[in-house]
Amino acid sequence: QNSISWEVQRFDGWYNNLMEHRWGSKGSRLQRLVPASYADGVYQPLGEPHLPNPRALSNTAMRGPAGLASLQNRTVLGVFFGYHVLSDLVSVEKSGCPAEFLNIHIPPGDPVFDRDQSGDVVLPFQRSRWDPETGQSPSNPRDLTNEVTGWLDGSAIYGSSHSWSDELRSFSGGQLASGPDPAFPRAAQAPLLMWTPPDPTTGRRGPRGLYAFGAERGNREPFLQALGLLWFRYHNLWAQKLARRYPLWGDEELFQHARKRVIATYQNIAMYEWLPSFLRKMPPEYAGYRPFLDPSISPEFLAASEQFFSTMVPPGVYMRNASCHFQGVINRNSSVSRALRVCNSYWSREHPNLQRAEDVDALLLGMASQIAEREDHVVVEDVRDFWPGPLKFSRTDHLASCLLRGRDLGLPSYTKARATLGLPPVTRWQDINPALSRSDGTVLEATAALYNQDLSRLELLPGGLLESHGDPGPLFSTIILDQFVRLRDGDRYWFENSKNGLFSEREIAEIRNTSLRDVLVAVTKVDSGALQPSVFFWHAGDPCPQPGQLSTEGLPACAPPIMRDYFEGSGFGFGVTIGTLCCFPLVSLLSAWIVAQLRRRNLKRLQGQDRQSIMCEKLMGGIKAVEWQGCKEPCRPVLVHLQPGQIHMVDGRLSVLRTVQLRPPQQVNLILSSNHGRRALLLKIPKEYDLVLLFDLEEERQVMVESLRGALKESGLNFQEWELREQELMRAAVTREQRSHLLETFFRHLFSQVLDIDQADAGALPLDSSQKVQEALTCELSRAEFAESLGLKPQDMFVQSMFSLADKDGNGYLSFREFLDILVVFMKGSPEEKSRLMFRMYDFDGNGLISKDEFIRMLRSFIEISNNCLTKTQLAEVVESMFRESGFQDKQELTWEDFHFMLRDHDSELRFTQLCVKGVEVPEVIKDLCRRASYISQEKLCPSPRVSARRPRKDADIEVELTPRRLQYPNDTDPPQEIRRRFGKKVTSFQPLLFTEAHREKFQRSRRHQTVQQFKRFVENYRRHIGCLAVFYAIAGGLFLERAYYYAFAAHHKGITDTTRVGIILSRGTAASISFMFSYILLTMCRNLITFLRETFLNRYVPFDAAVDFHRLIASTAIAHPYPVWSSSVLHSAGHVVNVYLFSISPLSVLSCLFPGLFHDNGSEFPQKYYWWFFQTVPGLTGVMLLLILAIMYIFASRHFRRCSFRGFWLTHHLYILLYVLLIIHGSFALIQLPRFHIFFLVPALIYVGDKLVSLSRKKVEISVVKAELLPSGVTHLEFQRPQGFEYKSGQWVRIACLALGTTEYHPFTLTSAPHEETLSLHIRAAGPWTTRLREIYSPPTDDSCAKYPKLYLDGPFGEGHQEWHKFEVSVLVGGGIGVTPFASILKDLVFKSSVSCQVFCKKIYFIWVTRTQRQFEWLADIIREVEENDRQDLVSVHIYITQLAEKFDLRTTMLYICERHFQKVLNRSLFTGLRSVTHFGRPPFEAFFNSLQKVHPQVRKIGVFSCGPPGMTKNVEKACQLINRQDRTHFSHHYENF
Amino acid sequence: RLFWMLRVVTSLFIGAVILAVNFSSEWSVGQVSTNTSYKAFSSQWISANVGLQIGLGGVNITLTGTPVQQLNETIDYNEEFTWRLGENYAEEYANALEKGLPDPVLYLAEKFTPHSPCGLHGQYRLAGHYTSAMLWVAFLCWLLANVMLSMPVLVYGGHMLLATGLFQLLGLLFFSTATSLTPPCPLRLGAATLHTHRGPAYWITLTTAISYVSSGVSCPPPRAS
Ligand SMILES: Cc1cc2nc3c(=O)[nH]c(=O)nc-3n(C[C@H](O)[C@H](O)[C@H](O)COP(=O)(O)OP(=O)(O)OC[C@H]3O[C@@H](n4cnc5c(N)ncnc54)[C@H](O)[C@@H]3O)c2cc1C
Ligand code: HEM
Ligand code: HEM
Repeated sequence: QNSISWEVQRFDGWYNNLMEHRWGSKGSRLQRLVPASYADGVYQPLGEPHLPNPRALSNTAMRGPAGLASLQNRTVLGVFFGYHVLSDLVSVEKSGCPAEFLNIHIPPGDPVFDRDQSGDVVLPFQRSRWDPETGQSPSNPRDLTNEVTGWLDGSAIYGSSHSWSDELRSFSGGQLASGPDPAFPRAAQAPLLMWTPPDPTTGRRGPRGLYAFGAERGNREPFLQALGLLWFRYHNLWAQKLARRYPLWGDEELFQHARKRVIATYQNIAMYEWLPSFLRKMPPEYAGYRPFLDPSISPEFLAASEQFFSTMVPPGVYMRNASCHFQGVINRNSSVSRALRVCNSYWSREHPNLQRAEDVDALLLGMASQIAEREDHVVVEDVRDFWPGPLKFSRTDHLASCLLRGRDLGLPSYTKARATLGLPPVTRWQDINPALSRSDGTVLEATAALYNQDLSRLELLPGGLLESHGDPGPLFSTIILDQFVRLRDGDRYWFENSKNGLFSEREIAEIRNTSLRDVLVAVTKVDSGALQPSVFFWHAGDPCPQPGQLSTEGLPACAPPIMRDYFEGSGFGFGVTIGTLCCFPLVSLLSAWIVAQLRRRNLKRLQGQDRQSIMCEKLMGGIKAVEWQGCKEPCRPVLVHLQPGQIHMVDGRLSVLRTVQLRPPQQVNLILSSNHGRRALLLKIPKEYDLVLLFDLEEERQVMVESLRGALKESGLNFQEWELREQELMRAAVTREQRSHLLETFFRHLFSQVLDIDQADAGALPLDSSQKVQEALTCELSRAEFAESLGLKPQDMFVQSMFSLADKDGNGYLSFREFLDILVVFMKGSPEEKSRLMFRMYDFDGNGLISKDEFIRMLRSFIEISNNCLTKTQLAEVVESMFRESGFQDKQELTWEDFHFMLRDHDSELRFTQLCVKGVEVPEVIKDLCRRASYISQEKLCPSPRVSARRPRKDADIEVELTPRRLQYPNDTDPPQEIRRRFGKKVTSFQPLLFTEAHREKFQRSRRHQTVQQFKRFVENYRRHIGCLAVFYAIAGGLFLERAYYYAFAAHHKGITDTTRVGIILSRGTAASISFMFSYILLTMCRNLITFLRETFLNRYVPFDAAVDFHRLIASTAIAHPYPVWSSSVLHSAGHVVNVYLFSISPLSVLSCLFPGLFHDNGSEFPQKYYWWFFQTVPGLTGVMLLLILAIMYIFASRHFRRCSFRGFWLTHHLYILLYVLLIIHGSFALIQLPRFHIFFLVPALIYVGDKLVSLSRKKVEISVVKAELLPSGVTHLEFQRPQGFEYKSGQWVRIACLALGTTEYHPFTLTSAPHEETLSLHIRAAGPWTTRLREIYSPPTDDSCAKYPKLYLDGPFGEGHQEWHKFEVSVLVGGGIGVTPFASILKDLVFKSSVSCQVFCKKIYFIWVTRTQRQFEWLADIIREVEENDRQDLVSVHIYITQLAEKFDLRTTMLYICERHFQKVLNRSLFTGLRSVTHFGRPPFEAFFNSLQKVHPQVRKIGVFSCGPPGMTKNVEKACQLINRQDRTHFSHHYENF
Repeated sequence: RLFWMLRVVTSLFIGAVILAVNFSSEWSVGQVSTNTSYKAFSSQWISANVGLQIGLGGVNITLTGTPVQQLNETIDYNEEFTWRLGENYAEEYANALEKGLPDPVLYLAEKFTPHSPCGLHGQYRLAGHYTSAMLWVAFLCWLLANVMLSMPVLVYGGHMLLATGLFQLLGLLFFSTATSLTPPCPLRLGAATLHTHRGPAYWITLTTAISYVSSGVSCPPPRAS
């Protein structure tokens, strides 16, 4: 049933020999006949000085004219049949890995390769693949491996592996697959991996036009191809014959039977017809299969056979048809020549003369009748000079290459080989070839000269060639005969071996007498008469004699050698690519700049129409208009209601913005704009600042004007109307801003004396100032407007009292005139006026009488202020006694007179009292001594004591200020230190706190000591930071060195270091350090983890607070440090750019060694272009994208850009996710080594994701807002529910997102509520778009039900809680600007702890608040007031420093200054701010302050200083602490945080 | 309680599936019963079932005689050749040749060697490498999804489920495109030809992926923020 009865021979030559399975298999070693002779005995080939230059040897020994016929009349067909048999048996042309080169240095002036006499032409020669188990040590020198099966098994026809033969088969009818023309096999297209080098003549590349054969290099010449085609057709012939005979057989049976038969025929012809024609002796008779005979191919056989065939190759080949007509051949340039020139048809694709099957037949017939070249030492130039070149050169010297291949193989010398093979030794150069020495002795002498007469050095190849004359020399013939005999006897599948069951005896006999002629006749269907019986010889009388022995004349010249440059034409493109890579940062810089501009524009637009957006839909009733408030101010939409005698201006939320009084005597004038669509209206009303209204249409304005006229007539006002152009109208209008600015300058002028500034620089009053100032002063302000201009809340105490005092006309409006009068009175009024004023101030209910308790309260506040040593009870007694003495004890109310009388008579008891107006009774002596420095310059001493009203001097009513005050500050009542001591007797129990002047002399130490001290201090302060940085960079550096070492020394077997040593070390080293840096950068951003770890002992070693700075530092070193010299990714990319350049100029054979998975060497030699590396490989493309992303992230994360558009930074920063994804993909391709990034990345990524999950679980919980309050100057106070289980310390901050403003945008704010409170509170200043919109959303609508407030998301708490303050007995909190917010919560927490009297180690807290103006921090004043109220143990003493220059005082600061200086505290509260703490004007003297602290608390060893605010301030505090610590008394440990 | 238990069990099961399918070799399978030559130095042919299971990391070739006892030998082979990133397939094939495995096994193994004309090695190695990477990412997303679903952030959990499904689909897409790039390679065993088709692992992954994507999408749609 199964017709395949024999064991089918394997395609890869395995399992032929029962004992040695590997013999003759594909990839097995060549077995040497003679021991190897390498330079180092192991693998280094012998070289130049020892052996002659190969090209010189080839020029001397093998050069000669073509055209000498073979002495034995061998035909060219025999030569190419020999080549075909050789390609079946052995192939060592595959280049070895790692790539090693032996170079042929062309002697200068070589006619073919060095025509321009440059003398430095080098033909590269690559060593072949060798068995890695050999070549490591002397006893087992390097052996090359055979790429094809070593058996004579038709591997040139069917391929040397089963999968290769599957590709050749058609799987139908047992035939081999054919292309469109059945006579030709299929094309050599992929996936079949035929050898496809570029055509040396035309330079054409690619597999098209080449056929698929069993032998990889079957397409080398058309003549070798012809033989391949012959056997291809012969197989298909047999398949068809068998199919006809056995129709039942399937494809497999047909194929195997045909194959068996073809192989047998091939073996027979090769052994019994071709070999004898060469050696001219018959091999011994077949004596049966000898299983113990090693049939392996020997390197000597390879060299010998290859060499011998090359001498017989003719310069050209005839083509003839069956009737002996030798046809002409059409050349490339369409000229006709006698024969096909060999050198122009190597690797030719779609040769014009070999298109049809008949052409191939003609070629075969031509070869059969053409006599080959003489078998001598001469080789034609087609082979010797124009052989297809393997690397970079289109042509090479075949002989020189074979010589080098011999040296690569380590072939023995000629004499040693003869000795080993038992041939008689040769002692003299002439004995090599006596016939040659007779006919042409010069060749032998020249060769001897090259080997400097040392016969023992003569190599096997030249020796073998020189010895051959007409027949292969004795050495070559013994080697060849021995090899073929071993191949026959050692081959279990030899056709004559009847034991393998292949053939019957009859078949064997039949095969034995089939000759090549029979095959030719069967295949070409030409009658047998056209061919001589033995086609390997052409004897006289055989059919179709050749026209003449071919020589190079009459044949086209060979195409000259050209040098192939792989990088040709891509130099410019490469430069452009690098250019684009370099200007990625520029591109992102540009886009950053554009985004910044966009943001700035829409921020302005946003602030402009912020009121409009909310307002416009709610206006109803009244006349809609837009009030213009000034050129720089935004216009706000208003609703104008006209009531009799009043004009009400209401905004969208119906809260009254402004009411204008229309009282008869005023002269109103109405100005209308005459251009721009006539839609502007200016109403000038005395005592009010002007009202400018803009309407959408002129009609609306007309309606307004009519109603205005009606209202004015009703209230009996006469008014004039005229028209102005709109611009002039705008300029004429005096808006509120202008007015308040005017007032400020006016006040400064007025009080320049008091403010210690000379009038000139108090701000320039506009020219027509007098008239405008008059108007400004008379302008009436409602309570709200008055408060707003002073930056106070309407219900503020100062506003109340001022209104009660100043509003003479009681119309609920206060004009600045009235306000000014009071001030003047206070400043300069007589005591009576003062007491009357004070009386009226305490007459809250304004009935001209003070009730008893009001009076008691006033008295108590006096006594309290002056000397609170009196307890409450003593105080009450004093008051009672006063009442008794003045006989008023039964009077319930006191008139002013009683009030005045009482004060004057009892001043002795009220010794400590002082009129609530300070600046009245400063003891003369004190004032002279005090030195006063104005703000501007410390040195300028102003001798003149300040003008102050003289009250009869009360004796020694020293008012002792408990709070430390700036000495220089001319606070009249603070006698300097010495004075106090003298008066000290009555010193109260409290340790006075006044400071002494900081002594100057101890300060000038030697410069060097100072710097050392400075450095020691620096190291001591940043010990932890330096430690961490050192560890981090040590690891990164270590990784770099490890990779650098590996690729410099250890990775030699990969060979990559030979191609690009520096590039690969640099890139892989930086790659490792990048992987580490980019992975562990995430740890710096695990906020919750950091907040948690801060509390543990780790905080002593790792500075967690500097996480963000550390993050920035890592990022900059990992991406592009300012000086990019040592930033890793730029270095890495540069390294790889160098690699890419080197890879794109190294040949494919080298690349296939470096990247075995990626490249297969199919001879096409050209490497991939640079853009393939950059854009068509996974690492390349992702690398370029990584560069782009990093450029963007780096630019958008720069400090400047973060400030101007944080949102932009935040969005681009989230590209880090994409960055990590790309990084993983980047290394995933395992181009050079296995990916390692994910190993580094896994741990930190998990921790980071965990941290994010912790936040996520917390920050997506909706929290409702309990209270939202709009505080003056853009601050919003938010109070919201405290989520359960939310524990935090004072000073920590949270990140909130408002649902109405996008659930993903979180912003950090410090908690100003104390940890014990049940709600959390934030004070948010409208700084940018987000905070401004937040303020609008939470502005209280009229029906302010808090339910309507949008909810919040909360994430936190984060950051370092200023918890250490309670570790110090005395601590100083310094808050600057917004940095004061953390302290708000600390103060509240502290006061709560002390009030609930839980044991607090801290005895005294000094809170210093430094701010340019209180303008944005009024809310803090409320907090301080609250702290002062419930601070019973007087734990906290607060100092406020206004650092604004006097000349720049705004109205509020001016008032603050005046009150502080001139108004005694009412109820121990500053009249203006209502704070007990004192406000100073100027920069806080930290050194002096710390110095005095040491004196005040001598027993305290360590004082904690906590500063938070702008870097400038914290640096001053730091410097001050260092200065004091240098004196090594109490140690000031300073902790700071910058906002 | 029951619902919670059910949810935990199903999610654990699905996690196990993702892991198992990553290591299984049932991605593209083929099976043929034919008469082939069996071993060297003997001309007998056997009739056997030759199975080919191509996984992500390598290939399993099975040869089971029908009947198992033939030529008084038990013919039941299952050889594994891996081409994962670290291993060297050519070396494994050389060892197999040295070991002397039966002819059909060697024939199929040779088809997947790196430089065999079919080019299957490069294709399947790349496909396997990146598909298993995708599946590992899907596994991580699955872990995250479970963590998030147990937290009060269902919407993100839904997203993660969607991500798991998408990554699985991506892996499948990659596997099918990568393996269908080059023309099919002739696998001729005796007279019969062996064709490979998508294996159970492929379909299981597809079903889990689709179920995840649908559950992810149908999860509570994120609130309109
Ligand atoms: C730890 C900390 C505590 C803070 N506490 C308070 C506070 O108690 N009260 C208060 O009014 N402000 C506080 N801020 C500042 C507040 O975060 C920003 O003013 C607010 O985010 C401005 O956002 P915006 O979009 O309106 O302005 P933008 O114009 O976007 O930014 C203005 C400035 O705020 C910075 N900023 C903006 N968004 C962020 C953010 N998400 N993270 C960090 N910085 C940002 C920008 O760098 C820029 O310098 C604090 C900031 C930090 C870092
Ligand atoms: C010069 C470069 C960089 C600078 C200046 C920088 C700066 C910052 C800053 C200031 C923050 C904190 C923002 C905030 O919490 O309000 C931050 C957050 C972060 N950065 Fe960077 N960064 C840089 C590069 C990088 C790089 C290269 C990566 C990642 C590979 C990265 C990853 C992160 C992450 C993950 C966060 C946290 C985001 C979050 O909390 O949601 N940064 N960066
Ligand atoms: C033109 C730009 C780049 C090119 C051509 C390039 C090329 C390469 C190559 C060929 C490798 C080796 C991959 C392998 O062994 O499989 C590699 C590894 C690496 N590259 Fe790049 N790269 C570039 C840019 C970058 C950048 C900007 C970064 C920084 C974020 C980076 C980070 C890495 C890392 C971390 C590795 C190691 C990956 C691993 O071992 O798993 N590369 N790069």
